[in-house]
Amino acid sequence: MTVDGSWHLADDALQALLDHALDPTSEAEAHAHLAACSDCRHRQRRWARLFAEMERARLDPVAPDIAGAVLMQIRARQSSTRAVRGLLFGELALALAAVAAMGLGGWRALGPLALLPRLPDVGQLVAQWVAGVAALARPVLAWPQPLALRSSMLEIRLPSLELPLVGWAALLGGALIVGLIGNSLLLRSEPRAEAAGGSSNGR
Amino acid sequence: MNMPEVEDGVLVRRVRQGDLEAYGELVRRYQGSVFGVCYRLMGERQEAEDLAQDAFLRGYQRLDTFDLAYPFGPWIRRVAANLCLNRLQRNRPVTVELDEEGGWQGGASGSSPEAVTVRREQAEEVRAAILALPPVYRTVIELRHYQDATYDEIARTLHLPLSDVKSHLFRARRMLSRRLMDHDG
Repeated sequence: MTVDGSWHLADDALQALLDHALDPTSEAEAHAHLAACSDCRHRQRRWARLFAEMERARLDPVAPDIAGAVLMQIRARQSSTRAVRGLLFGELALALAAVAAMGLGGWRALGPLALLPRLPDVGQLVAQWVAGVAALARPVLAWPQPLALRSSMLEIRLPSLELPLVGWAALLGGALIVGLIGNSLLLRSEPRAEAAGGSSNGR
Repeated sequence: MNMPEVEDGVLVRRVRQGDLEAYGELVRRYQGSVFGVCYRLMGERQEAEDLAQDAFLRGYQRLDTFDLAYPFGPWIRRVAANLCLNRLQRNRPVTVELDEEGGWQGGASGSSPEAVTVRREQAEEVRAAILALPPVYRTVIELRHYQDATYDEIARTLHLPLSDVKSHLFRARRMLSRRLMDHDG
């Protein structure tokens, strides 16, 4: 127990006594000292009065009914999460389809399947469509080439971004998959542990 | 839906199995005390209401961490206190005045109107003094005096060392004592 130089109970000990936070031995000693010391009893009464004042201010305010709003927010969050998940699965399916189509197109052109009779092939159609889009986009994708800066003092030439079509498809598919994984991680993550006190309620 | 006879633990289990209405019942049971925590800490009704909603949303997200061996009420109130403390520390200057538009309930039975008025003013003075404390002092006072949390529980809730909890409580009470009691003897 904390006792100051003049052998009176310190204020923190008096507060701890009122909080019932002293161990039994210290509490008994404190009570014994209070019985014999009017100065400590006076200070003890002041703290007890403060505690009583705070107790009188305990009244709860008239609370609004927030149950409906809370449930509405939970439902909204659940539905938006489902929508985003659906979108992410759509992205994944698109990415896989693009990669599969490119792989199938290349295999048909170069591999043994080229010898088989050609049947209506969705993969090939998609591959042709992607190839067409890529051809249209090629000038755009190759933008760094004409962007060389020239001057009499120095010349800066930006690197070319030209890639084979399969490379672009792989790059696109990879980017979509990385984005998908990143988004799903974001969906699972929670805000900073503001309510960390709520993470455990053990006493 | 009213489920007055169902225990909190049963409701929590139902929520974990996907019964959202069970969580609605928990909110209805504890919205008063949770709002009280937020109002005492923030001093403004609208902000208190927003934070009370946030506390229940956070509680829903973290319900799997709730230990069914303990009561739900103190747990959700401590979630609310922690949210309020974070808000106070992040972006609020100290607020001294309470918004009293919504009024307070209880505490006035069996007294004359004058006595009720005096008691209300005294309580008002105490609440204003608590609101004038620094955020962390305000929060430890709320948890100790109005949520009946032990020193250990306050330390765990606020992630503070036990020694800090004791010193914060001591200093907070000393500040309150000076403010409330020195000028009236």
